[in-house]
Amino acid sequence: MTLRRLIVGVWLMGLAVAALTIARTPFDTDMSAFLPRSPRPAQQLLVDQLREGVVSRLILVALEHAPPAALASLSRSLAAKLRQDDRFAVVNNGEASAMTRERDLLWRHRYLLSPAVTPEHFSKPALRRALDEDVALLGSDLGVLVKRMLPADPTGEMLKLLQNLEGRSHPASVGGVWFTHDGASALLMVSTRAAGFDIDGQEAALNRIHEAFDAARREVPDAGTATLVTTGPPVFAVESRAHIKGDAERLSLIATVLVAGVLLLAYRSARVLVLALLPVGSGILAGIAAVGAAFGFVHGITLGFGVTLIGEAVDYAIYLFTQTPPGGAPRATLPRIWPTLRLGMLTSVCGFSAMLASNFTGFAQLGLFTIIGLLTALAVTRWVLPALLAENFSASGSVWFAVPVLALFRHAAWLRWVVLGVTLAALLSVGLHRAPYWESELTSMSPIPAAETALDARLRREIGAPDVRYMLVVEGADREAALAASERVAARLEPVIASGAIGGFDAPGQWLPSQATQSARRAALPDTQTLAANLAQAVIGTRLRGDIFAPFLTDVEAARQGQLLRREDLDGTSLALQVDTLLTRHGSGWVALLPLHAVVDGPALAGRIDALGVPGLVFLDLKRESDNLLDSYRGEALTLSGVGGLVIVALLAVSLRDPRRIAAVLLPLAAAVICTAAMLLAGSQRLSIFNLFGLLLVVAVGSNYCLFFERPYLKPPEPAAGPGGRVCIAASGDRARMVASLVLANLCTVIGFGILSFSRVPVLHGIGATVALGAFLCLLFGAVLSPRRT
Amino acid sequence: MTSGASTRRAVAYWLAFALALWPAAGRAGRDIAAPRWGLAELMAGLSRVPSGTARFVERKYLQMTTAPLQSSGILRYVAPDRLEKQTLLPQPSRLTIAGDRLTVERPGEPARVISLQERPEIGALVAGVRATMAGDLTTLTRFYTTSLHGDAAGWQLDLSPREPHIRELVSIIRITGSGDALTGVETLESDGDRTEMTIDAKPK
Repeated sequence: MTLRRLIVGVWLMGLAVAALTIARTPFDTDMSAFLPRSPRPAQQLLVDQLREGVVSRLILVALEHAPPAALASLSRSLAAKLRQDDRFAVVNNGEASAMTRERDLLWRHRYLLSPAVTPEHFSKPALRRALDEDVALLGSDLGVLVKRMLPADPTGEMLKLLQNLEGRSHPASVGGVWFTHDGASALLMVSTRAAGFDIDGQEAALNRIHEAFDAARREVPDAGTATLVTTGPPVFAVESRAHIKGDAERLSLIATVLVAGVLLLAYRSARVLVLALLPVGSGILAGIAAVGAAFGFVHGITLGFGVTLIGEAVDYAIYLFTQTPPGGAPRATLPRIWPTLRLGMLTSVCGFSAMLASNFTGFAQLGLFTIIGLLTALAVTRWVLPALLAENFSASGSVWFAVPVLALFRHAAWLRWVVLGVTLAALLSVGLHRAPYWESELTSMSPIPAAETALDARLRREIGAPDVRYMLVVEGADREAALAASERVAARLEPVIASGAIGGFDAPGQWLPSQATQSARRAALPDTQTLAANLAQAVIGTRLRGDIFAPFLTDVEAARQGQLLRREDLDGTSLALQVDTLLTRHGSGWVALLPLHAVVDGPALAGRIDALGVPGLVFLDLKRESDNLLDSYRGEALTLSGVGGLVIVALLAVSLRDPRRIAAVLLPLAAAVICTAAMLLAGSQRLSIFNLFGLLLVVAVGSNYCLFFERPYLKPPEPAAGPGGRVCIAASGDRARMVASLVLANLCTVIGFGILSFSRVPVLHGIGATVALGAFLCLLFGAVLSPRRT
Repeated sequence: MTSGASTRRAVAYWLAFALALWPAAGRAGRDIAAPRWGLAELMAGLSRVPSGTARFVERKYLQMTTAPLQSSGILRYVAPDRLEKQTLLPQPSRLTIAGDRLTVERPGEPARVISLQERPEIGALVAGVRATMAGDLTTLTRFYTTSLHGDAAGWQLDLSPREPHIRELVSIIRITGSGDALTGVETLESDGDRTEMTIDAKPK
């Protein structure tokens, strides 16, 4: 009695500790947990861009379903509201007036910002050339645009800066705001202050957009029918989290209800149901607590995976209860089934251990969660359940679950050939599969529906939003060093642009030149006397009056005496965000990014960039890097699955020793894996990493059934004694109960993983579908291929 | 740095140009020697012009220059709403108004695109142009006070913006013509600058 109390006490204390740990563990749904932990530097940049780059903060907004004039007013009203909100760094809807602050900043600092500023720029001949150009512009249709600026900026610095500011993209415009080309939707481009990984911040920003839209719709006449569409990485991140959270909650609930229903059906006892769920509940608590303790946070997907544990860990209690003969005590059953249970659990743990070694934080969490969960569930089944049961407790359930499998036994002689034929056909179909085996798009790992991705791509095209694939990266010890390095690179790129290999590039130095460059430009400005003298000579013979340039002399002198432009000066303008995303902290230093536009031939350009001979310059092809990333995931998944599979085989070999017994366990497993892979390929054409891990889990889970089928002490089925199955079952005793327990356990596993396959989150869907299918086939093939002892 | 002011000025100027253009196309030689000739008759005649081409010479008299700046080229109007001013000398450039968009192209530079409806006051200017082209006298007189001098054989139409903030930029647009054909457009800006365009409706 005291031992039993001790066991129950330890168990309860363990649960309390687990609950406490969980209470202090933060939950997270950042999908970058499913990006590798130790990628190459270029991949780290990619991951950083996904987590906090400018693209990760960009929301595209479309206003639809109202007359164009109403949509245009709505766009203005919405933009005005959002511009007052601190949560948004940039709100752009095409209104020129919105750029006032940027224009003012550029105007005030034009002599520090313009790359044209050199000592020669203000010499007599250079001024003369500038004045001639001014006269040509004045006489042209653009004259009205330059007339006002000319007395203060005869060298035209502002015009050049404005051309850069306005950029290359010109979305269609109605009533002065951006529209899609078909005129059906007004477009806005909004950047959140919250970075990509700050999903709470992004959710708040999105909610604000919806509120502001509702308010604007009430104010604008004829806009009552208007609707709002948002897209972009922040929207995806928030939706992903909602999906993951929703799926984890909903699917767990459904699986629990279904498994409980099956158990009730089998045992017709609420008490047994509660007892059977104790190992599962303990396992889930311990698993989450272990992940929290090891990683410091628990990913939402790990919780979603808890569903599978429900189906998997409930097996142990099922084996215990169902394999206890009527009137017998579970405690007496335990010694008999314990070796098989233990070996089955160990093979499962081996399979999940492969995930533990994964570079994906997410997979490692799933592995640890499941391993601790299974260990706990088995331990609770082995020690706590008997301790909780009264001496005379008996819970043997219905054995009619065994009927279909017993039928398989009876027809095993010819069914074996069917299994063999099906497996060979499956092997052939895998071998002859024409398309690539593996999913090669990183987006296949995203929980975002294809329709939403397509919408995103369409709006992005319409608005001309950056869809940057190629960029150059240089590092520096600090911000200034990185800036200076980027300026050296920018200088080398001019001939590359001239050759047409690239259309252009962005650089942080466009809006924030390094202090050295600014100082050089400031030093290049002549004093008022010199400038006035040069100008007086240059103006002779130009048709311009000589006495209109007082503002020019004043502004140059002010710039010469003034402060350099600092990063803080950009605050409150969209230029701040542009600079911050192109110039970021990275590791212990800083990196400057130079996105390249209109790249003609990526690989050729890579060679050309190498030939520039700038030390430390990295040419980054984001598409290729993301593909490489996926390749390296897949390589890792293949290796880990292979190693996991081998470890399972080795474990079985060591435990079973007899080659015939080993084969009896491995053959059904191999057949099930091959058939599952063939069916998945036939269904979706490609296999994802998640399918691959799923196949490993098929081996880990399915081996349990095969081990039971293979148990040598089993008596052969006795011949059917009557016309009904029940008579037959009653006659077959232990074996029927064993089979019933396997079917029940399998049913629960298939329910757990099968429910998971309805998830919209690819990792959950992929693993769920694979394991549900594979585990079912394992039971089927295990029964058919089980050793015959006649 | 007030882009708004310069844009309004630009539109005022282009308004003048557009007004210049549509009658320039009118070479129909229609008999206009009606007994009671007035603004309504002039508008009716001009609005019936579908399309056309003319040569122009433009002189700008600016405060900041010591001598006028001269340019020349070809004006085109294509129904329904496309207007084009192609400058050939001294430097080639092209200005196009199509729908809501005004585009200026110069060789070797990216095109500049300006939305005409950027602001309501500019919308008023454009509405004036469009109303005139459509022969919509009511709308034209809503935005401008008009005064017509001379007779059908040689007339002068003065347009003064009613809106005060447009008057701050353009004080008067003076159009001269003969029959359905325009012979000149003069724009007086409120800062004293002046643009004169003479139109020859018989190319070559």
